[in-house]
Amino acid sequence: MARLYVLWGVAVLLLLGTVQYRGWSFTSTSNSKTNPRSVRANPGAYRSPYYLPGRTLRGK
Amino acid sequence: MVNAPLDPAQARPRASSLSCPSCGSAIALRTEGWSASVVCASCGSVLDATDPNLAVLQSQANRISVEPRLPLGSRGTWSGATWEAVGFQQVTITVDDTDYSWTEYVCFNPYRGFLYLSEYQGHWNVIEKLRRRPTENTSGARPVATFDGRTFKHFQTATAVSTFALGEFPWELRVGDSVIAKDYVDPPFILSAEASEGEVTWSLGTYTSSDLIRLAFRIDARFPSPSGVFANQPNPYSGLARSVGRTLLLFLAAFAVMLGLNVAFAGNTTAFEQAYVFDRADSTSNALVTPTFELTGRPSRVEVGLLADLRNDWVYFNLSLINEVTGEVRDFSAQMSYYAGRDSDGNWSEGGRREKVHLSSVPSGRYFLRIAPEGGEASGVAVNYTVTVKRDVPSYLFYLFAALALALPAVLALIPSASFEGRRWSESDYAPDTGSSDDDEEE
Repeated sequence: MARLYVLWGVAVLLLLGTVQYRGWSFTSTSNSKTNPRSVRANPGAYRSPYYLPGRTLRGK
Repeated sequence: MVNAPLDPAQARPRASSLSCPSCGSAIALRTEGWSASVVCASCGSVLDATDPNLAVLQSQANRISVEPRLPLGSRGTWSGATWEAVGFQQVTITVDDTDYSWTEYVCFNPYRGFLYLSEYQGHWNVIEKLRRRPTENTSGARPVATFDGRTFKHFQTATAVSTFALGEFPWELRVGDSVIAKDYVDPPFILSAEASEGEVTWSLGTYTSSDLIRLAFRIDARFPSPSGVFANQPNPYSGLARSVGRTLLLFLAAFAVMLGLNVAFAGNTTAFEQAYVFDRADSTSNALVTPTFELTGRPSRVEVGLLADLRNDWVYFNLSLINEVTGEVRDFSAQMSYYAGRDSDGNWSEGGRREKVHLSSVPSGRYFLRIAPEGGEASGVAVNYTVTVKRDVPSYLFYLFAALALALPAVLALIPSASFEGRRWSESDYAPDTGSSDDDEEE
């Protein structure tokens, strides 16, 4: 049990070091390829792949 | 002629035979010259062993009958010497109207004197009388006693009554006699003080496996398995708890070093910062792209920060981080709302004007942001907001998760040990439900 805990702790610290070095994050992003020129030309026309009209009608 | 010195290990007690003046039964005195009283196995009378005529001290004293697990006369080897079981008694204490009884054996070796064994529900102790008095400190909430550099915690004080006796004893025993027994524990040891008529006798017991006792005295029948947790029974889980605790401290030290290094050496550099206005009346401000900025170094975390002067308003930001060269897009979002006011309870506010989004492992390159704010109160005015992009930002949330992941198994490892100690102390004067019962001392 004590040996298992040593292995577990070392794994946790290694993972923590990797996470910090690689810069991992919990934020979910949707990655895709698009044409930067078209976005620059008309930024209002671009819609992200998960865009849902009306989903932001929130507030107090 | 000079006799060679006797080897104590080889010395064996010898018996002499007399008869009980009460019932006439034969009495075998194994410790003649050493014992002060002897109890007749036939009639239970307590006799004066120092008297050649075995004067009766207490007639037919035994009201009950108890069978010793170690038959009197059985011999065993302990600590390199041969001991013979010569006396046996049952001692009873009463706590909360419940009787608790244990048995004690008097063992004799003519060169070593007396050794005592006790048994309670399968738990055995080997006990030696002390020639030095331990130091008691009763000033704290829980008294302690120190002896040979060890600190013993007070466990229980109770009135112990001799309820059955058989064989020989080095003191003038009477069935029904009582002593104030005070126990201090430091597993596997137990310090006991027995006070009677102004005289206090201290003894040191060592918790011993029943199998060792059985083998030492060559008893074929198996002794009952220990039941419950005894006062000085070693905690079988304490080694694990100590080991895991020490390892946890090492891990936490490494954790602190990693955190320090991360804070000291993380770039945390600002790659881009600019202020914008979101005017709901001006559709050109509803979507925009920022100038290009450079993200350098190894793939690392990017923090996009938003700071807006919201007041009773909210805004939802559609954001895209776009690599100018490869066209790779990372779409994400952030919502901010801030409401404040005053009511009968005073000033109140909810929400915030600042939001941060962390993007995972963004490679180096030239990037720009597409920002599309939307939403808000219909009556809302223009919102001024600032966008900041930071490179190589430490995330402390991961440290929190790592700390929990390190601590949780250590806490789980402590549970069996703590549970064992809880069961131990639940039998003491310091049981959580009854609290300290100092009144027992006066019983």
